[in-house]
Amino acid sequence: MKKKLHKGFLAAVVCVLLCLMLIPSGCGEENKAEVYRTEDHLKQKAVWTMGFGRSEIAIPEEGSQPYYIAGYNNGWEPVGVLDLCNAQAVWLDAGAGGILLIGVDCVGLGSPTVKEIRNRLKDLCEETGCTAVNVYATHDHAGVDTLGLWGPIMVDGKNDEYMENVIEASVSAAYEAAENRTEGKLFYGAVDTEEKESMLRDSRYPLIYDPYLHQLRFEPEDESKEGMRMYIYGAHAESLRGSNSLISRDFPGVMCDKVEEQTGDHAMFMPGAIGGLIMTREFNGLFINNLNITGNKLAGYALTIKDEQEIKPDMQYAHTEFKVPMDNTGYLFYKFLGVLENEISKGDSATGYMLHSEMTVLQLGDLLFALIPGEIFPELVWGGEAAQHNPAGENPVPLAEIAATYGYDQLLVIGLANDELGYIVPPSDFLLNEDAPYLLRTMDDMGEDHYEETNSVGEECAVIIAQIFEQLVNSLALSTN
Amino acid sequence: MKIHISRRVAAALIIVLILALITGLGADLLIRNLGQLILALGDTLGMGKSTADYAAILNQLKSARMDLPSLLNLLLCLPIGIGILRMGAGKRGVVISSKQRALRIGGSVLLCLLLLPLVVVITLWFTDVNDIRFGTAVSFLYDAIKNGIF
Repeated sequence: MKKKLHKGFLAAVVCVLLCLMLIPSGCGEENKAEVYRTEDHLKQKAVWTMGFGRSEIAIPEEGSQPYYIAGYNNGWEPVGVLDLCNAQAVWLDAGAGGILLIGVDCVGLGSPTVKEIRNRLKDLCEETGCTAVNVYATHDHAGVDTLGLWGPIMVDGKNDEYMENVIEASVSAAYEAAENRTEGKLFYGAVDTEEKESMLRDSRYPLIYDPYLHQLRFEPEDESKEGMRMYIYGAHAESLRGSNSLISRDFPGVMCDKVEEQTGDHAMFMPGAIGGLIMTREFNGLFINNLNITGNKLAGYALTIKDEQEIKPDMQYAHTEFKVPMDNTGYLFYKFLGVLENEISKGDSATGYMLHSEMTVLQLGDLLFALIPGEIFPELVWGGEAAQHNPAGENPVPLAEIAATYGYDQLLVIGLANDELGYIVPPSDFLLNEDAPYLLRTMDDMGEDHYEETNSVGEECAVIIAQIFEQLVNSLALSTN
Repeated sequence: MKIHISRRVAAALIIVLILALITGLGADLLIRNLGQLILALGDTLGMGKSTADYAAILNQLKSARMDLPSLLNLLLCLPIGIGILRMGAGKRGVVISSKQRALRIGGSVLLCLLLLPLVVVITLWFTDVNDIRFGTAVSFLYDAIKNGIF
């Protein structure tokens, strides 16, 4: 009897272990949008309340872990500082609970860094009733590496001390913005920067980009207080170009400093739809001259914006987390090595994993803002001719068209918001190297370099972004009915 | 209902747990010290000047977050544990000579030497390193090497 029990017991143990082994540890799930919206926006007090804060990001101490300039070259240590990078924050409130929008002068921030900033602002949010914290990067190509991709190849280039300084500066700027809240009016205006001369360059066919410099201007009721100007422009912040070895905010810094000097208002820069690859033209071969010329030209444009429309005090937003197939093998290696820190889960993709990210749509008056977690190609936003080097790839409906079907005539994009997935490439133009997809670049039959695909999550990202965008816009539309 | 666990079964479970711990630790140490291993074996593997670069890349795994497949590990150690027990126990009530005892112990050791490294390798393969299965990373790395990336 004991012998039977013994064998039976062992058999039972083996069966239990086998069953537990065979239980799937994580399956691919469809993206489920959990939508959050501001409460009772119809009962909002009809006045804008805004505040601004700014904090410099300190350079790490000498002798600590190395740090690198992000954007171009691997293992490129800076030789000096042209101007220190900042974190700036804006408090936006139309009466039913405010949100914080924090901009950091850096190449990009992964979702773990954004989450840490949010974590440290929990107390502030509780005290002030702040309902959301959104963090974007200016995509500065002359800042310190904050993604880890510009150290020695495949070695995490992030400097722990600098990352801590980024987070602290962001938190400090947010506190200052909350403290400086004041009531006033909000205006929107824009200027075409391609009208008189060409400011922009699109390095990849089709040549589609937003030529406008968009401005949101806050005018305080209390005239003794400083106003605020937020600029959205669809260009990579890399007027210093690839040979630069000085830390700088690049042209957004020059532009904002000039506007602040001329107007007395605080100014901050937000990148728009910059994928594909949209940058400002090279006006001078000496990189510092090019920086100043570019920044001053854009400041000049900014200061000509006169024909503004007042934005009625009405704000709501919708936010969701989502998963996207992580097809890029390079991303898999970076995740394995601990350089990429985004959350992942098992799912249906070329690597067997899904990357987790998030998106927000924000409505201010009649304006709709899409906070996109990466560098989206403009043709995915505004449509137009699409390149067809991947005939099997079908482009989603452009985001502006989706927005229009829900009654939003003006869509603005804030790129690199709350994450940095890399380039969001139109599927119809998604071309990979046949021998080493994602790890090596390829050229198409027109001689175009398909570099962006090597820094993208995968082909499906554009479609998922459009789907998530529609879900969020739909939720905003539903909440107003 | 009481389940009586005999001494043999208890001993088997203890041996299995110890083996699982050893192989699990072995897999963990191996992954975390891959960089050091590459440094030591770089010349032998013909990596030349790239040895230091590859070692620097793999040294990042020292602080990796690891999820060892503990259940798989236990399952793989189970037959080894039972084998050791069976080899060492003999028949109840039968006295064995010291030579026979030595042979049984030697057999157990040989079994471990042969099978435990295999268990370590299999454990390694199914370990999640920073949420990526080690085996998956190795497969893609192999493809990349085959395509001349490195």
